[in-house]
Amino acid sequence: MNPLIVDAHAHLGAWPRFSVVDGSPDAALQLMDYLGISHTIVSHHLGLVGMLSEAERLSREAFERSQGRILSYLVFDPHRAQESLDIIVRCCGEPFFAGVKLHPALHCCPADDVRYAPVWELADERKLVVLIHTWDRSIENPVQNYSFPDLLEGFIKATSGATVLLGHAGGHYDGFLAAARLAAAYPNVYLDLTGDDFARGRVEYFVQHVSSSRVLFGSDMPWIDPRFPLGEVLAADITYADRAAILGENAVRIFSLEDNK
Amino acid sequence: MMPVSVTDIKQRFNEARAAVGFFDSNVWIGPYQGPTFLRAETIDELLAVLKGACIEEALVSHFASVNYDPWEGNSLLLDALEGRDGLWGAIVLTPEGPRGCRVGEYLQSALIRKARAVRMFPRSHSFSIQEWHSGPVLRLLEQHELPLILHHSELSWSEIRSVCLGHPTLPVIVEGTGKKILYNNRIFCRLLEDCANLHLELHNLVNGLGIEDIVERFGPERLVYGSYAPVRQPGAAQMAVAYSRLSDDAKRQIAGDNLRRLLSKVVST
Repeated sequence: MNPLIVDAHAHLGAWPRFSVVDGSPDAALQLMDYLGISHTIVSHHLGLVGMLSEAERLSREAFERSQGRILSYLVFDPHRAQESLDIIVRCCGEPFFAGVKLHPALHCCPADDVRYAPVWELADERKLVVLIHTWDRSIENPVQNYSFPDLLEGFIKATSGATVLLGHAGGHYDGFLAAARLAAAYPNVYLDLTGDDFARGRVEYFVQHVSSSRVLFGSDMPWIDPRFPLGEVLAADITYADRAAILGENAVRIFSLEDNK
Repeated sequence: MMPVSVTDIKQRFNEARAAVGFFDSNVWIGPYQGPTFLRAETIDELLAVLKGACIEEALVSHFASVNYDPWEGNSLLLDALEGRDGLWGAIVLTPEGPRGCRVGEYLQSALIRKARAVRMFPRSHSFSIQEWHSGPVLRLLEQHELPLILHHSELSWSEIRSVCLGHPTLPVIVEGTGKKILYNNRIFCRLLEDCANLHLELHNLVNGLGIEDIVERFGPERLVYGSYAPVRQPGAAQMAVAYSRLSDDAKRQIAGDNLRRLLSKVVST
């Protein structure tokens, strides 16, 4: 399949806070086929809740079942640092492995916490992709303050070898601006468009203030249906070249998907 | 299946959204209080946004009705809608009418001036939606079959249930503005089962495969397209409708025909 559209940020599995309609690889594949999404990069929810080995196993299975179209991030859990690192090191270079996922809000561990240092060092050394959940500061949900993009600058500055994806591009307006500032300042930083704030003009803002070469389409499926962010990108007032870069070309380059068809 | 070039995708998207006849239940004029990348505050600026998104008709509210004074905002809204084809007003009410005017009389005059739906904000405007306070105004809306639009962040789901069950011929549309509605799908699916007059608006109803799931369980009649333009990009929810795995008829219902049907029943006298 021509990798025209790549979903750089999604998940598999259930989640307790709401009823997931279908978090299986088969459901993902059916929707990918329907929408023309060639590849999806997921992190299995089990990895986010401490079941790291099981997540690794299911990630491998999803890769096999999808004939290489569903790749995976593996979670670095700061509360299970050594176990996480061991799994990530073992999986580096395997075809299903696409990078590392960090979630400071979910793990209640600020993005600048020293417990993340080992995984950043590894990512720098092995030139890994690191996807970090980023979000805006929130009074209602203060744990999201741990994921504000500014907190990442120290690690980003120190690890030019890693490719850094700011998941949700900061979540809401102030987070969007902070994420865009980081991406503009550091050439290895990318923004992904997942989230539920399809603010009119934000894609255009990212293209103008960062570059379309550093913005990635992502859905957050099964939390968020890919058709919403896809519609946002298709409706944005940007050039065809910008749209092609965002929808697929950037991800093909970052994840070397041409070799993985 | 999407086509295989970016030029084609954009073209097909525009054709798909033009084909289903979008009637937007959730658009606004006036000053939005929050930060935003692009402002569109006047009716002409809003119309440009809607035209660019292939939206033929819309139900419009004024931000001043929420953030300043319902009556002042409604007046600005209804003035702005005069002579504008395809645009209808969603005025904001509290249990009491403006000082010196009964809410029934107020409503009657607003209906003459293109009001076709009502929004209420119990939390922001500090009143109770329960019968002891809002009962009379809810009965009035029910008599007129005027759709009542509520943000789920403005009241509890139990209160939404009470409104729906207490006023079974009142069409109620719940929007996901203010906080994530995706987390509430266990609750709202149960309410869709219990309350035949409950509808959900789409701009933030983002659950993966959620539209198909709701249609399979409750039919396409319960969903209403809305964008929250000009704050949000209308194309996001448009794609979710136009590229849903539903029949063309179901897509047209969700895109606009459900809202047209609800508004056609409004008793304006």
